Amino acid sequence: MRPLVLAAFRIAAKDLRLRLRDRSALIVAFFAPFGIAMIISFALGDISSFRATFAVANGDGAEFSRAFVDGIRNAPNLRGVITLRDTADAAEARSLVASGSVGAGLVFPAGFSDDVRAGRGATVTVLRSADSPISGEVAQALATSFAAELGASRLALDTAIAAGAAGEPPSPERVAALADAAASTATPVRLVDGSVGAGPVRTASYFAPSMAIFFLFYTVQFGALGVLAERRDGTLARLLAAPIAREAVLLGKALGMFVLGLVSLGVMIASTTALLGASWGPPLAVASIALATVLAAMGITALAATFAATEERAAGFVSIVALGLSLLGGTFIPIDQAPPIMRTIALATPNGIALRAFTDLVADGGGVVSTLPAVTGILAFAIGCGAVALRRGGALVAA
Amino acid sequence: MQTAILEVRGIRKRYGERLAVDGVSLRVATGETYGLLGPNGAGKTTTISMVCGLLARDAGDVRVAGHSMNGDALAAKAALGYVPQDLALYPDLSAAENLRFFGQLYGLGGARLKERVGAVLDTVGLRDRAREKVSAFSGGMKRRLNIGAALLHSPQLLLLDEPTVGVDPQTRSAIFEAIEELGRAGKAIVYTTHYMEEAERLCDRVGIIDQGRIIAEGTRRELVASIGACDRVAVGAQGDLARLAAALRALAGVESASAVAEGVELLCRDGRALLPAIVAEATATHARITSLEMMEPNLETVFLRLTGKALRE
Repeated sequence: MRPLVLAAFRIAAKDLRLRLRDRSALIVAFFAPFGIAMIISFALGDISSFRATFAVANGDGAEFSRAFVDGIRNAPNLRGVITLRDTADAAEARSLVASGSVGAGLVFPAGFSDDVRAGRGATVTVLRSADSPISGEVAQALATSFAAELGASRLALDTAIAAGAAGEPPSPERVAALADAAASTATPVRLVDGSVGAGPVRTASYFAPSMAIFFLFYTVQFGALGVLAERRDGTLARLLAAPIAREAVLLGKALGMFVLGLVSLGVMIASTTALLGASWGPPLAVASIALATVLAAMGITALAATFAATEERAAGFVSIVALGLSLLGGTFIPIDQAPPIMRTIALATPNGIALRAFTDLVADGGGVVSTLPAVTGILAFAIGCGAVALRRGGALVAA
Repeated sequence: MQTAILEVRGIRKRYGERLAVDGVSLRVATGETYGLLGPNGAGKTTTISMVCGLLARDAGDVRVAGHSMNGDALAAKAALGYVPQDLALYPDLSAAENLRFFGQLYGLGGARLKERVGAVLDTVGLRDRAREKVSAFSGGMKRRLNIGAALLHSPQLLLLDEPTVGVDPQTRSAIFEAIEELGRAGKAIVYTTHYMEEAERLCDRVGIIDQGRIIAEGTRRELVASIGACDRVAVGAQGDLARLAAALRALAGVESASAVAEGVELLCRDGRALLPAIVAEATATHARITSLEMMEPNLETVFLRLTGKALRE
């Protein structure tokens, strides 16, 4: 093994040994994230227990609007979650929404199906209330999904007409039959985004990764702070006087915090799965997000630490950064319950991207490939922050 | 002269406008104990830091056991052991764990590492405390272990940067004995201090450093002889010591006079003859004399003569 790597391993092993003897480090790395995730899970119950009633004013009553309404009623993943209440007209639906009797309303005007069939602009009105923002979001998502499905059905119909036998246009009866066939195609109503609140994301499955990521910042900070602590304690001089490459000191610190961060996440995944019933998703996909997240946390804490001259100040900077990112990234409140602007901001933070990636794995499934965009985004933070941190902090071990 | 284990040539270090080390050169032979004596801020630690490769030099070269710090730093570092001024140990690791870790950094492993850790624990008298955390040790034990950590790889050259600063007399005595033992064992040692007594007791040769420059170098005898026939008088006094020093400096036969914490120290020809004049000047300047002592010239005298100030001024 190359001397540089060997020395780095020895420094990392020493750091890990010190961390394992540090009760506060163990609490931050293992007990606190699990404990808080557990408390929040018990306190908030299940996100999947979301229930809503939507008022439906179907002035159309023809095949397309019926397909949508039946689709919601028959969708297995919405059964027991969304209840539809038929109303006489749009005014009644509006009244029910305004009074809070229902969470949201859907209004299909008369001639809606004719408009769709004729290719004219058809409108579904979603009635929302400020008192039930989540219900409004769910209704909006369902309507958006339906509109997309209609587009696909229209395309199927047009294609069938263009491919009429022997180049002759099909008869009006044939067109009508094709239209009916397209309209009667099962409209697989589903949530556009499983994380809007009605998907099968349990509270534990949200707060387990959110707390794991939050405390990850505090867990891996010991590496960056460790360089400052070694300088304070005089041991850095002894390390630098030894016949090892100076880079080995930084590499060793990084290696130590990488291992500690991964182990912390691993323990969190195992413990929340076993004890809280949290879902994380396919192991390989989870591992790829976890690896990237640990690296990003390392880069960010290292960068924050380079702005401080002492270990204590560095810890303060790391805390501010970790807390700020966590507030923005949806650590403490499911970000899908926040205003749209906050959702956008959350996805500009590495922890927000990671959290979204973890919950998407649970809600929508998917594998390693589906996590690639998120992993790439998180790694961009890791590389960017790490490079700047290395440039700024390299002076600590320079001759 | 025996083979030089350490050769320092014209090393220089500047911090902004301040020239901390200005062209220091020295040579230490195998088995020799070399003292770098100077007041606080003279450049001792900066010099040592450059010698052991902790600090980059602005100019000059350092060679340890024939290896240049410029081109072959790792080999040069492997030949030296460095004892920092402050304790440099991990308090949450045991004595043995500290030694094992530092030994590994010097390439030791397996049976050799185990043997060296045991030997060093014996040397510093901590064999029976090997498994205890360093945080539970007394100050003296930590100091001894601090030195021991630099001995693991049996370095040819040992650099000790003011190892007795802030230690109790008993620990200081134990450190002296350990260093004398290492000297007898043939180690080359560079020892920095601002205590003249330490340099006189431990060092074969002494380099006197002030304001980043070595202003004199030699054995104690050579250095004392270099200032010629000279008496050193310590005037214990209370009052305006700066004024008293200025008045004494004006006396015929006084070469230098400097105020120190307890009074005024002066170098003069024929100190006995000057005693009445010293008392008269103290009276004239309203200083109250508490003691008068004539001393043999020593390294303190040399420093006073060369710089016009006391080592601990």
